[in-house]
Amino acid sequence: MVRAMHSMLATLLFWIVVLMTVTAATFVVVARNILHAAFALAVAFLGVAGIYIFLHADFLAAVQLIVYVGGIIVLVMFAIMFSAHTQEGTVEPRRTWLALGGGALVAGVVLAATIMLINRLQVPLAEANAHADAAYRTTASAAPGEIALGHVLLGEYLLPFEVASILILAALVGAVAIVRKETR
Amino acid sequence: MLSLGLDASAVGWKLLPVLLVFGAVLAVVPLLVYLERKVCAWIQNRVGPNRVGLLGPDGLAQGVLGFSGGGKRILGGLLQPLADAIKLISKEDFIPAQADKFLFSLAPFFALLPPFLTFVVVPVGADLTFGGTTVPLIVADLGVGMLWVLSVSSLAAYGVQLGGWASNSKFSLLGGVRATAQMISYEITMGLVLLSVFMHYDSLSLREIVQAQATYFDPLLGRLAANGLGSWGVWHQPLAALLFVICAFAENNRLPFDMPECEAELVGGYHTEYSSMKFGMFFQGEYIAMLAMGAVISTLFFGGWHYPGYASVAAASPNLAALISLAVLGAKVMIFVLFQMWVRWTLPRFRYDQVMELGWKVLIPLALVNLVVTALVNL
Amino acid sequence: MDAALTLAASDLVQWLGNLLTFRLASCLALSGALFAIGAWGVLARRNILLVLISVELMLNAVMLAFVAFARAHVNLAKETGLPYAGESGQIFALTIIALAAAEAAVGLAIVIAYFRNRQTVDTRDISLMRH
Repeated sequence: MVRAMHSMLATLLFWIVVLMTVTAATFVVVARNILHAAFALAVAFLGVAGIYIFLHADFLAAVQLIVYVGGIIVLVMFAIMFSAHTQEGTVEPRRTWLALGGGALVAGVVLAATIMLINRLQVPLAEANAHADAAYRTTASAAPGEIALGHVLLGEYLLPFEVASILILAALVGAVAIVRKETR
Repeated sequence: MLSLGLDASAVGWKLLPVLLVFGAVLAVVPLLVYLERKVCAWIQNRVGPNRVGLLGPDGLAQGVLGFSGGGKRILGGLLQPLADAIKLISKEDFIPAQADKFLFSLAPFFALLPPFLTFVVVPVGADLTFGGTTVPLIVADLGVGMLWVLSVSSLAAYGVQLGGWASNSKFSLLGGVRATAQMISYEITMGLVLLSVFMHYDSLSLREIVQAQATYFDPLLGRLAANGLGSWGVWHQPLAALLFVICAFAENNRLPFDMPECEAELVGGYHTEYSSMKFGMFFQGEYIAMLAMGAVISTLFFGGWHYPGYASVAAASPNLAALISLAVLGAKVMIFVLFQMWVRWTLPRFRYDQVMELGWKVLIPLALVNLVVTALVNL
Repeated sequence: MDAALTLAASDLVQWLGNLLTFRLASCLALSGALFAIGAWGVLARRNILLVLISVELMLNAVMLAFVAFARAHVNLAKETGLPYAGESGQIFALTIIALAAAEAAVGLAIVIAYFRNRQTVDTRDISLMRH
């Protein structure tokens, strides 16, 4: 009984997070104020991190919080503040309903196609979680899969890992080179 | 891991650490406000708040009961935070006309909430046992505990940034931008430091880190010894401890890193336009952040709730040992809070370019060196 | 009549229950919705920063799909007896996060540099190459 209630509560919580994420994401597109949109994006990313926890990908959820919510969006907000002359400058003045409507139409088609495609995938994830975590039950309090993730990341996928780090270094140098004021 | 799979009786016990931790934090914050003013007064050779107290000619007892307590002021000023709170609540809650009202009202919550969330992963004491049920004194033992600390401290940047921007005032905006840049810069060092601590202990869980600090290899005895001060993480990772403490100051925007507030140039920085309880929330958030940083520092580097002689007390009575461990962690946290106050009223403020230079040219290279050395040692 | 109604009601409850269970399709539906909203943003917004933001939203949707599929893969692994490789999906997501960080850094640098020169971040005004 308790177990059933627990699973029902978890399902309810899952759908609340989903609703929050979708609402925030929609707000990103329709908000007139750009900074409000950026803030809504932070909420949407928070929601995605929540879904990662439901998928027992704790490490990924933490990385999502640190990199996206704590890093990228703060930078985006910085850029918004620097690319507006006044506070009012962050409010978009003109809206073309054609653009909004056309965009919504394309998005709707994408969504409908996705839902039609995925409707057959009935894999219950709660069970999958239980199966996947079973192998790690013996390790004390390490998150399931966290250790395996480390092994895979620095073993089988070492090359992509190193390539990504070189790419980040290049991007860093490039970004600094682009924004640096030229001294003549 | 978000696993609530437990039976109904355990759910009740699960609430105990939650109530304990958050109740204690809320109760201690007003005390810290009083303490800060007293410490400041001692350092500057003043008296500090000494009027609004319980006993004495101006005390609460005199006002309510007509009992002066012999005319001597005992612990005068102890009720000063209460008076401050009444003053803050009864003030006008002013929102500037040109401010972004939504974000202006939201920002103080982001100053208050993240430091609270840090306490979620801090183990505050040894396990209590009630009739066969073991109650771990930790709100949630996350497998990714240290990453949690890092991610909630990065959330704190939102409070200052949104608050500074939404006020629509140049002082606030400058304060907010400075604060965000500073917090992001010092977060890198913090992450690198946490990485080397993780390498040393082979665990991200703060609970396991505390347990790892319970025993250490005693070179004199030539075997593992229990519960000495020698098992503290600070002896294994001294540079990391130093860097982490410096970053903690910068993350909390405390002097010598209080660029964002910087009364001399920026009026009040990001909270210039805030008044009443919204200002009060920024204010409280700072003290909770001090407590949170004290708790994390003592957990990572100073043995957490462990104390010499824990094993022998626990053998006699586990619950007594757990209660002592609670008090021990509280004492350690208070020592670090007092240290932060001492530093604040002693050191002058950095210039903004000095803050950035220290962060990027000194602390990050040092943290990297520490990381590489730790990696080589643990190879 | 009553029996039929009860049957229909229980069918409805079961159908709803099936729909709402935490399963692969629900995660993918969220992923699809996020991707669609991101595409909408890219098409509809005029501010180049918001276009960047919408791209981030789409990247997140893809990451979510990878992780969800990786989780669901455990059942397949059980049936076929092959080793479970659920972490590979998370590796994809981690790589995407790293790439997104790099993309954001360079993208924002370009936006700021452009704003310095032209005083605008509106996509309609960024049409120098057309003239």
